[in-house]
Amino acid sequence: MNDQANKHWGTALLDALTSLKLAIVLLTLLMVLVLACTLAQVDLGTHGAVERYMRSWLVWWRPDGASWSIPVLPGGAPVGGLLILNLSVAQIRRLQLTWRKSGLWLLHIGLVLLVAGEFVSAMLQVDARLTFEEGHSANFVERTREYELAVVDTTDAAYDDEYGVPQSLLLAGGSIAIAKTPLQLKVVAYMRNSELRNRTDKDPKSLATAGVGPEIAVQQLPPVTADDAQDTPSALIDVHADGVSKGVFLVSAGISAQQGFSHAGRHYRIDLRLRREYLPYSLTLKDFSHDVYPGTDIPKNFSSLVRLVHPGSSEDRTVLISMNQPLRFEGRTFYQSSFGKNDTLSVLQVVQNPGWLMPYVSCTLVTLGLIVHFSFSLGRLQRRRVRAAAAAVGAT
Amino acid sequence: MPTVPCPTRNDRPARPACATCARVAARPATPQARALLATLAWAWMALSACGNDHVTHARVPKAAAPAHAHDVDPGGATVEPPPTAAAPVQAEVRPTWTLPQHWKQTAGNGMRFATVQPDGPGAPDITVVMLGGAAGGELANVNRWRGQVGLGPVDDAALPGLRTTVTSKAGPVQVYDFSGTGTDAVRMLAAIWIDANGNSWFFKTNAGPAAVQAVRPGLLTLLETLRLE
Repeated sequence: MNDQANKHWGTALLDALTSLKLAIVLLTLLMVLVLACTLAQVDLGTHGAVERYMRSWLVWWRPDGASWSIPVLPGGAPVGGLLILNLSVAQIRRLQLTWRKSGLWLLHIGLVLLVAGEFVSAMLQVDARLTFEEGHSANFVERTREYELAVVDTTDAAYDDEYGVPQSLLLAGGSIAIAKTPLQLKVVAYMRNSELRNRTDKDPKSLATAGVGPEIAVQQLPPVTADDAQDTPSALIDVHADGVSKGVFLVSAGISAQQGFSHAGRHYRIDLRLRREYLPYSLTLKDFSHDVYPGTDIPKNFSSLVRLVHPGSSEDRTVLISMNQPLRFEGRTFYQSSFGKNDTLSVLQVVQNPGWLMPYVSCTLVTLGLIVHFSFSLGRLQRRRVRAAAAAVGAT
Repeated sequence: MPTVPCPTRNDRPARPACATCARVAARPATPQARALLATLAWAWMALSACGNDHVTHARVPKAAAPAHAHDVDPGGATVEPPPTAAAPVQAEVRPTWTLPQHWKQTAGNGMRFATVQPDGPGAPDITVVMLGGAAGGELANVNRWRGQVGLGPVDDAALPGLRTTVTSKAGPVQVYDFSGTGTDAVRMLAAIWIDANGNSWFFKTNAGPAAVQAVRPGLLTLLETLRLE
């Protein structure tokens, strides 16, 4: 047997993983994905295109009119992941840990951090919004693309107990028990997007038996992807309390009517809404400003003067959030996003991204690496010139 | 040498029985490979642990019930999105209107947004209903209303000739007025308005022809005052 055949399996794995060929293939795939993602934004919008090409394991293709689809490309997730491994392991194996190579070390670490940062954002970033009027406080944010089934116990005069069933559990179907309550929810159907209309005699009998559902016909639609469009999810939920059926409710983001039921002296409201996250602090909108250039209607600046109160840390301060000056607090960043109601209502976009610093660190490292690397190269070039000049003087 | 099929995980012996498995197992992994696998395993576990697919609970004081995302001016400018911009705001729209003199209004329940009660004896109520999205579209609703008064369906081309458009600050409102035939004919006066988010708002009343005729001028006046809060 030759040496290649006897090669250690771990070494063979590392060789394949750190090969330059793999790096080139991955970079080529990345370019193809970026190009395809850019073109797809025309039809899918930014969010839809990024989800399909960059934040996926496989890119699927479905012929027009077909009910099946096939994978045509690896998605951004495996390509990016392998690229991180390729760059990092090749760096450790091949590059010497010397001062002369320190620039290249910084450069490669910066690039790996850049790709890793996108992974962290894809997995952990949460986009939400916070809406409040002047003089009002808000202590929760709503996710912009995720929904939840809210079951609210409104019995107590002083407070509501809100239970939120995330969309992912509704999509999975089956029965969902609400802890510390006698409630058991059975998901009869869940539609990511739907259209509602008043039911007519020609429509089939509604599956809903309680609330406003029997009056409404619901039709499933494919989810929307455009940036300026939003799904109208609907669900049919069979509610049981202590084993007793309370009926099948049609809940939908398109239904504004309140629906509910009572059991054992307690009153519950049921609703499908944007997913909420309650904050341990509150923000009060003291004033919203919409400045325009003098003599015109051209917007110059939008800002929200906000009072931030955190009972847990006794923090109580006033903050000005404007277009380019977001508030960063406890891992969330609050950007001025929109406004309304004759400039008395403000909408803040709230982004929670544990990896938000990674692109900054990455760019800094890449810049430093380039400076260090070219400084060494410049030094070498300078010394070579001096030696060449000295040799020339000696020769004459 | 014959190869032995590798046993399943459940009855696997302490040492692999098949020749291929035995050869691989005999080669110890290098420290680099171990470190690599450990890193992969750690990253997988760390990312898997980030899942939040569970039922949440929050106790919210009733008095401190915060504002909802509605009433954003759909005609107003939108601030430049931040660098990590997500979807644009789809704010809920709530219309308002001015009631004709002596008319009354009550907040809706169930599907209804509101119920308008015109003045006068025997005047039929006007219901205001909002449904998300196109709610079947204008044609489907028109045919539904026609069906309710005993008229046959029409197609898209016929709609412009059947409707009256009322211009309001909130946008155009399409009004349809259908009368059934026969001695106990029912008349249907219905209007449809699409808000900035594409949701459908219906203003509808149906009763005897004379009763509907009595409330028609007031309803058209109400629709002309339709605006956003």
